[in-house]
Amino acid sequence: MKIESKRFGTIEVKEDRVLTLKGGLLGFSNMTNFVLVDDRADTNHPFKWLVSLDDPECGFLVTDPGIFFSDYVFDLSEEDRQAIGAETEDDILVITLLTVPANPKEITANLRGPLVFNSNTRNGKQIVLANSGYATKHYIFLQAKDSNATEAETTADNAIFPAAMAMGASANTEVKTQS
Amino acid sequence: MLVLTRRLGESIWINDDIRIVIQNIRGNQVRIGIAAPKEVTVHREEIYQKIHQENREAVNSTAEMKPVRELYQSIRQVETSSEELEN
Repeated sequence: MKIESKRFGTIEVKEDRVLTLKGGLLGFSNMTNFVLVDDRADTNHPFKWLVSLDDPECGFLVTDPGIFFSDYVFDLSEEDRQAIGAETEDDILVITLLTVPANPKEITANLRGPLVFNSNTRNGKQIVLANSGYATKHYIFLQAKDSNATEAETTADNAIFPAAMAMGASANTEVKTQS
Repeated sequence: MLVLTRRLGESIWINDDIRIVIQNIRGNQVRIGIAAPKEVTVHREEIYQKIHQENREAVNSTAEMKPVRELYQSIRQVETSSEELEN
């Protein structure tokens, strides 16, 4: 299936790559089906677009949080684990939404509301980590933290920028389940 | 919106599986107990709203990949060259 998007061009949608968010994205409950789309100009970086199949002009910049926050860990509740049908921790893939303000240096990651997917079925859910200590805005670039540390909530020492880490490294966020 | 008046210790049932109990009232604070099936999601509104708001900001903010990509790549270059200096 091909879909046309003014913003992202022609997107070739393979059925086995469609991500389904149970309940939709919070605040966008009409959007339940997505595909990850590469940057058309260059893929030598860990960012992708999460494009809605329900509205192909609507895309979210996303990344693998483990690349920028190597010690990002959260407990996945039993209900959420069941909701996405994940049997083991290895089945779980975590994607983080990014917000880009006018100055892209101050780009932030929403570590409080990650998207968790079952990597086998590609069923997922946006979960809310209410008591995790994570906020909806964490700077991903150290430079922004240094110059502007008070504006976004940052957790000390948790934002690093590992140059050695390969682009597109598979999700390496540790997720603990309560089983 | 349906509005009901309840006294301390009284409950409201929603369908036959969700029960809401007024547990404590002190000044302008009310403590509410919620008994619901596991699959029912319950959040304080402000936490829920924050995620909503962040999602909305995220979708409005990301018109272009280019500046983000370039910034990432320039920072990576700086880090790589400083590593080379150390070695």
